[in-house]
Amino acid sequence: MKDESKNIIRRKANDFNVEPDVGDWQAIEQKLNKLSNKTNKKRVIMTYIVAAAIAILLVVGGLFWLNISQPKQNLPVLAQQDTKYIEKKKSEQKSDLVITKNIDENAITGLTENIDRSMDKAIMPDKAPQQYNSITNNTLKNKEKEETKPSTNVSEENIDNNKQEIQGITNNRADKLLADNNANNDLKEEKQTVQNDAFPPGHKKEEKEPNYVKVDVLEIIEPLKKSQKNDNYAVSLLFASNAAGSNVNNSHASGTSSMSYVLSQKQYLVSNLATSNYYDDVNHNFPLSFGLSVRKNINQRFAVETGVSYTYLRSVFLLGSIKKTQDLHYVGIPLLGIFTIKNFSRFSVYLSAGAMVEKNIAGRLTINSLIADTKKNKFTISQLQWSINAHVGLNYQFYKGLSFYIEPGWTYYFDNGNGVDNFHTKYPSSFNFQAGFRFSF
Amino acid sequence: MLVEEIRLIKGCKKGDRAMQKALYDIFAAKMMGICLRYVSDRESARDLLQEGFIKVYTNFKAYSETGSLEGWMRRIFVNTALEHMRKNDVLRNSSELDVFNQNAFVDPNKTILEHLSTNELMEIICGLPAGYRTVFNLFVIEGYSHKKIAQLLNITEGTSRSQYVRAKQILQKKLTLMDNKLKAKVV
Repeated sequence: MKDESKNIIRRKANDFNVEPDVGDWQAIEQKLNKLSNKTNKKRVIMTYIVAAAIAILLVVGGLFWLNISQPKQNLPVLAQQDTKYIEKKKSEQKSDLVITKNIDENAITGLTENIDRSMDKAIMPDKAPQQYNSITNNTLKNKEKEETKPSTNVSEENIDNNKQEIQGITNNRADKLLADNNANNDLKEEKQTVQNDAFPPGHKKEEKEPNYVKVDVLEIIEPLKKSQKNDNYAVSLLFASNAAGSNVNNSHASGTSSMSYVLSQKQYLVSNLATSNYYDDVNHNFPLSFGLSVRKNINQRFAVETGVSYTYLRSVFLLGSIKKTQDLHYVGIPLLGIFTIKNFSRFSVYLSAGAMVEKNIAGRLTINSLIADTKKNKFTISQLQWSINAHVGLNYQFYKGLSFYIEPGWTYYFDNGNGVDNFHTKYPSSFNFQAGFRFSF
Repeated sequence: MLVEEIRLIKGCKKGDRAMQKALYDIFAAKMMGICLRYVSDRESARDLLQEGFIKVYTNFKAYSETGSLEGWMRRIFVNTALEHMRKNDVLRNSSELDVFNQNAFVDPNKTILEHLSTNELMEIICGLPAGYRTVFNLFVIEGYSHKKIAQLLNITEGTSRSQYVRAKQILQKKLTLMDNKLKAKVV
């Protein structure tokens, strides 16, 4: 058709104005109100999400603060229990020694005094020397342990000097002497021991060696160290996606570019309107990721993690009679730093932050139209996709070495300038959710 | 750009309902005309009009004010119409490419075109089969190239050209008939 004819038709078409019906504006207004309500609901939901995120951060922050203020409690549970055990045994040891000392000092002093008195009374029962020797020997043994030489010396001196009179001490006297020591309940046990020592050899009660003697700190700590060494590495299988909703829907414009169907809105608006495209509707599905990662524990708190992840992105562009479906496949390598905030019996809370580089390994554009055959174009994006992320992690150990974890967090994708619209270009900053299994060895 | 237009744009970007209504009052008749060129019945055109204005309002922040507002809106309405046709399976009935001798068809007579009123001409265009009408609208009135039309409708350039030639053929026939009627009236 000649340009003159075209111009005539174009001019007349532009003059073709048809007044709409009266109810059309009301219908538009109603739809706008509905959209506005939906937007408000989304804002409310977002407000709740943000509030929940802040609450989680406060809880995590609180745990972190508690963790700093009580550093001893941050040891692994096993270590905590063993430490408590050691402390308990130490205190028992001290207590035993104090009791022994009290018994030694009081009993010997009392004995000495009574021996002195007994010299005057010259009471000499038949079994007294054996009983006294038993008491004295026992007391002396404890004395040697505590090296309370002055008391012991006095006692020994008295014993040597008054050996004859010692025989006058009876069982009742020994009991009375021990009762006068004002010892606590442990003292009574000691008294029982003394009484047992007084039994004939054949009936002597078997005495248990105090437990504290067996407590060896190294024996407890070394296995712990070994245990920590054994958990130095962890392998994780993860699944990740963005946190809420189903699809992200938006309309935007695009124009010619290295890939003809995509271009940013700004580019569209400055480009020639006659040659650029407007997408009526765009759906960016939430990305799905799967991965395998390895974590190396540097110490009890810090760890580094790396691995490999696969990410799948799908976008659907509606353009007039055309439906374009874009599938992108990425393989990425993350590098993360892990900081453990708190360890519970089976749970642990940690922070992770780091970066990831992703490479597009495959891309496919499927074009469906009602008036033509379906076309499939394959392509790859040469530019690397960089991103940074931060997560709060909760790890639950459900079996020895096996644990399940969840990691809500935030990721920011940098613009790599490839011009291919996808979820990350539309929403470079987004909340996401990761979950997976971790095997420690 | 006029001060009032700037005010209108800013108001629409903010979602000011009064400004949205003002925009509707200014452009509704023109956009309704566009919708009617792509769909044959008025009810469908009304649906397109409402849907198109919703898209305009909800995407108004994307309008950078570097191009004309009317041009930007036209594009939204054209694409809304194309989407509607895709959803309603309108374009499937369009015939596929046949081998045409394009020289066998003569352009519509310029004089006849001039004599036709806007409504008469639009009536003829709206009477074209959906596929031909769509390509004709996009090529002649919107100014798209066949390459672009092919991209928009997911057809080959050859198909776009053939659809256009067929549209011209039908248009020529109708114009000739109309011209003959007019001549008969004069005689």
